[in-house]
Amino acid sequence: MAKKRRQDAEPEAEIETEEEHPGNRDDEEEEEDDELVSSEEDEDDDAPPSSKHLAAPIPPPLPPSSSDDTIQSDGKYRNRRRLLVLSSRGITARYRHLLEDLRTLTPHGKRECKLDVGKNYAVGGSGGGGGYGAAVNEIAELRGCHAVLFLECRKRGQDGYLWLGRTSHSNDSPSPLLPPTTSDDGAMTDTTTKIEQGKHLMISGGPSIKFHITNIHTMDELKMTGNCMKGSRPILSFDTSFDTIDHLKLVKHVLVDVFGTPRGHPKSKPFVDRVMGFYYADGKIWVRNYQILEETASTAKEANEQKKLTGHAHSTSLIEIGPRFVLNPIRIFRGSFGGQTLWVNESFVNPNVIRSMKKKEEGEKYVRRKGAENKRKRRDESIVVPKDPLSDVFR
Amino acid sequence: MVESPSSEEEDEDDTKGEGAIRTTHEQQSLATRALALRTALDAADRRLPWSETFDVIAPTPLPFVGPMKRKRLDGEVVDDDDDDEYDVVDVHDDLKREVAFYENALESVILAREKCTNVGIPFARPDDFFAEMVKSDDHMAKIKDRLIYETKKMDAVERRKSNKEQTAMAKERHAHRLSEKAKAKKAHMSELDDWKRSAERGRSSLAGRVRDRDDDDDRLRGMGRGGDNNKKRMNANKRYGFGGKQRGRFKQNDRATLNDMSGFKPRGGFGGIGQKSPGGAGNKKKSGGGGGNKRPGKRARDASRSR
Repeated sequence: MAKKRRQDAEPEAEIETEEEHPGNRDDEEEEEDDELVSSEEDEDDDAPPSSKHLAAPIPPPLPPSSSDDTIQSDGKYRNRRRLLVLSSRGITARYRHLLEDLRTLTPHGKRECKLDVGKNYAVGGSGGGGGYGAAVNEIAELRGCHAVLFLECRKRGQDGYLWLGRTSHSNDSPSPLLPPTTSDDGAMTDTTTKIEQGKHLMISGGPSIKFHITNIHTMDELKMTGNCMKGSRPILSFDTSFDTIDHLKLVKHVLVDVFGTPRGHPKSKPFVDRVMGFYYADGKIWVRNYQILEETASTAKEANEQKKLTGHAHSTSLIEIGPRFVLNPIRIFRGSFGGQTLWVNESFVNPNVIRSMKKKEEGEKYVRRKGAENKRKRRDESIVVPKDPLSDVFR
Repeated sequence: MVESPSSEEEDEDDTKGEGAIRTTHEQQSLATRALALRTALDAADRRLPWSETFDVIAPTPLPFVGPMKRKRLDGEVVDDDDDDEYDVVDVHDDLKREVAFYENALESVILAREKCTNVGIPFARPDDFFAEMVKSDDHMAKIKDRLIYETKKMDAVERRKSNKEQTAMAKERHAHRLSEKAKAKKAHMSELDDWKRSAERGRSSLAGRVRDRDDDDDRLRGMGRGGDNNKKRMNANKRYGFGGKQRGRFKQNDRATLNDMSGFKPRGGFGGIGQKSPGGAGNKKKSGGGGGNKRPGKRARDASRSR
């Protein structure tokens, strides 16, 4: 099964390489970059998944320890994290555009075609019955991605669910069936998750979060006038609730993994010109993307005056680039696409329930009207005006 | 305690499956879950240097009153409740919410800039650094067009509005000017009347010793009249006295004319005044009042023609 998936993924990867600029040395495919540094890794696409795990793509300057807190930030591409960006089959145009926007904003993202789990991953299928989770995990495994952004569409594109999470992809665990001892992201070093041995669920890695995504505005909208360099590293701005509320702290880690561009990434740009804002309001996470516009004064005199006023020689302002959307967290899982539930949003109401209630309300209109009609009829019958004995007298 | 989320989500219509999940939730006490969350939190922290993550927490809290914050406010002392520190914003007020987000992001940008300079990461892009942008030039041109169109629209609306205002103002000014003129005229006339009255009063007190120009005018007019050759006028004057100004009196009957039927001609025509009084010497006039028997009758005329 894994082989088949790999074959599916192959042309996609090739397309991606074609898209890049031939002249720019930096803009190389990351896997190739990996190979340049760690030369013992053989050709990526031909290698079976297991060999990929055995070959650790950690560059020589790094100490052999796999934990990330030893990463030295010297401007080189050290934090080699890849993000898998994909969606389920049957998404509508709006979601597709959003996904395209997210892809342009995440240079460390790997593109994957729309996912149709079909029969293989259904319960009782050859894929082990893991559903989307198993399929996505497997693809992430094959593409060597550490984090996943998976946009799932349900009910004919009415509801969008965004899955963000760290995958079980770890270079140290040779087989997904065995419980991982250490992992690349350091998540599993001290926590052990029980894995059902029979299932192909790779619920190591993690955490993963399921969001209900609403209020989508894509970058194509003409109201968002900002623009930024393609691949520039965003400042990830969080509001204070991400520092105080427990589950939001976890969400923050995942968001940093997903949306933060690794330093020194070949496709990234060396300057900072955009900020991504995550705000916790009304029980939801609101996401905004701004361009940072810095205007330095044209003359020294003006600059001096400005410095006196604001303390900076430049005035900073923001322009929204887009996309904007709202993430309503539903559930946080310990593993990747599964595992123990760490947090549940109690106030989340499934959009199905809302829709069915609305429909019921509409259906009840008829029943109510009929009831009222019957009631009136009965009342009219019950009220009989007594005969006036004097009605005939004065005639 | 392994739940596959996909299977859970897939049979969301299936009440049986949901019930099973509910029970597992109940089994899992909140405390354990919180503990698990904290452990996971520790594990999830990759302890990367800031230059790798680029995450900033803006110190100023958002000014929204969500369910969480309200709960906290209720639990705490009341002085947190007054909005002196930051005014409370409704999350669903789009404009205010976006402004709050903007402020928050700006704050963290300033923080991040400082951190960047500390770490030695260049922040602002130099002018000569060209790079591919997220939005294509075509798209930006579209945005620009739209902006221009919008400003044009706004300008047009403004201009129309100001034009409207100006016309209204001009109208008002015109009306004001007219009323001012009328007022001035009225004031002038009333002044004149006042002066006239005071002059009259002065005259009466002087017992006719002072003569008005008005009297002179009348006299002059009278003199002029006396000089003209209007016989009818002269006769009327003779009969009724001078009273040209009283219109109605002229045509009133007096004793002599009341029963005078001399002017009556059953065949038509009107006798002039001059014919009324038989004794009235020189009363005949040439014009007006119908010329008596100047023209022969129709039969006479026919006869004369056939002759």
